[in-house]
Amino acid sequence: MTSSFDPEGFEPAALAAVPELSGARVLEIGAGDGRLTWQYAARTRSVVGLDPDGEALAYLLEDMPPLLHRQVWPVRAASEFLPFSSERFDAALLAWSL
Amino acid sequence: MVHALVEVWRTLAPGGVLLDIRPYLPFGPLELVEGPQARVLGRLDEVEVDIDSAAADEAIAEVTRRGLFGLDRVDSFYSSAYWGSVGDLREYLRDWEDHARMPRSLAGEAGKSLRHAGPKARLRLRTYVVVNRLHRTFPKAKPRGPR
Repeated sequence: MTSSFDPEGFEPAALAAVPELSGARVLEIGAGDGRLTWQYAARTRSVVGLDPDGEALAYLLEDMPPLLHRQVWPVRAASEFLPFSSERFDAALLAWSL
Repeated sequence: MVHALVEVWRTLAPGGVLLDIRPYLPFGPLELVEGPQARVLGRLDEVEVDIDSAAADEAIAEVTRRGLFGLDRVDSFYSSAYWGSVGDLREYLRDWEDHARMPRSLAGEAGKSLRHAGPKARLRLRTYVVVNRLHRTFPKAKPRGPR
């Protein structure tokens, strides 16, 4: 029998309460396999899913809904040195990662 | 952690939003859930003080003290996770091995309870999750790394 996480949908509800994510360029730190990413990515302009775990990012790529293929970009890196220019994102999400 | 938050500050546009979503331990008790009924089976063995959460809280406090971020609001909820077998729960807990372990007696009780329950019965752990919502502000001095 498969496991399920947050089937009550509290996390998506918390993200839905943040209107600034709509149309935003989002940096998600600790994106992992994309469990949280899929809950909000569709309404953003783009999401960079950052994680140091290459295996988890491979799952993210594998599970990515086709509609998000040009919107979500996995990047393997640690959060201490972000490989991005200054002021590039409108929102940042620390997903169970601080 | 402070260094990572300073990096986030650098990459955020002025006024940008920072959401910090994370769990606070300890876990709730392990329960057997069947339909609307829930029965407590016992508690995991857990560390008494969650050092990681305390350090993360301090890092958030530090970057707000420095004027890098302003705290807008704090929300919280209980997130539930469900498993159909003790093995699946053990697999999940590998990610938490520095914080929590399942005692052998509890694993036995959970397995026995699942076997005697209906096919839709599940094991459940609830986690207290906090959502800090902050916005990027403009410090008077140039941001520096951790002291």
